[in-house]
Amino acid sequence: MAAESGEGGIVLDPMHQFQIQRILPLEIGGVDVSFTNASLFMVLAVVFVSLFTMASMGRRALVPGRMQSMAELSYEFVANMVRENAGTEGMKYFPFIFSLFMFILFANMLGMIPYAFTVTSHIIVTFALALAVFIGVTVIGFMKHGLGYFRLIVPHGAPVVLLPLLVVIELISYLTRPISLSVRLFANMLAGHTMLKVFGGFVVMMGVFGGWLPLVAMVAFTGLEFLVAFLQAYVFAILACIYLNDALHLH
Amino acid sequence: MSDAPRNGPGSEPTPAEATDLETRRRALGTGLTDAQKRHAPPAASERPNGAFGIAMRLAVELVAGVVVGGAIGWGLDRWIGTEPFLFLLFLGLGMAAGITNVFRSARRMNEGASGKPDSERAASGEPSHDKI
Repeated sequence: MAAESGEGGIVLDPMHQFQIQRILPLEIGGVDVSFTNASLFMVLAVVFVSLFTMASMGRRALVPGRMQSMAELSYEFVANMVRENAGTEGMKYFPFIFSLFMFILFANMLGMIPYAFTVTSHIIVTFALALAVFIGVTVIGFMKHGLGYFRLIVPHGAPVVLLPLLVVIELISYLTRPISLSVRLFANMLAGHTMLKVFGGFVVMMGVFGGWLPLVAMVAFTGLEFLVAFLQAYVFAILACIYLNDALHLH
Repeated sequence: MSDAPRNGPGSEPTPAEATDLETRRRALGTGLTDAQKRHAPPAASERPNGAFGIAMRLAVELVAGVVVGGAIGWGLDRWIGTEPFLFLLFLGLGMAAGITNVFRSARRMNEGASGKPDSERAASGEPSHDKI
């Protein structure tokens, strides 16, 4: 925790939780590829997702137990999301969306455990994910429509005189996708976790007498953060579906 | 069960009738699961997002447009050597793109709030764009 009450007062550093620490220093060809706490929690997220899906589906009972119900629920949740937003054609890419959703969800949820590191509060992580979606969707679009995919950035029904301007605007609008996608997830996680830490600091600072009010707020914020953790994973996945739909069904 | 053909009380169904019964039963089964699926609440998709979430989303869209436009202009300027004109031009275009994006996501949100329920769209098989 960042908030520590020492002898000489309280050291409150809400950003300390986002620091990257090298666990296993490693350098290959002059590039720092150390195994850090961020890497550790990404690996943990993958391990937990794999355990969750494989262990709970290991014993495929007709009447599902608790864990199997949860696994089936998440499967159907994502499957419905893909089908509704990208059509039946989009189901081809269901494995990718499912992995994306589960990874972000587990990374967010692991971050809610005290002392854990929130991987998704780093823009480089979310940007890499968003870039994977963006490049993948663009490649799919070009594979499916060839050069006709450029029709996506040509608004129909626009006067020819304005077309050059509109095409540039649409192109920029298309290029903002990975940025808005990644910034949304990153900013939500960063803001939420910073807020939790700041209010945690208030509880310590105000002590036994005044600390109860921020403590109550903390409890509420923690609940809210769990909601945000889920919601942002959902938003990320659903936007990936919408982009996929744009690439599959050119309007 | 009640719609199964009956020849009379106590009469055994012939094999042909039995297979007919089986197909009917199966059709009813699929129909029933489809109906249940349609009536099940669309998981989490109608979740209230809250004013903060909406504000955040739109602000990010707007800023992203400006950032991308500015970055493109800056890069082109450095490449062609026309500082600072392309930067300014693309900053303006980026703002326009950002506002376009804000309009689009706001419209999607509106449609999501007032459009037909997801289950109907899912049933008709048409993809929807109206969320988030």
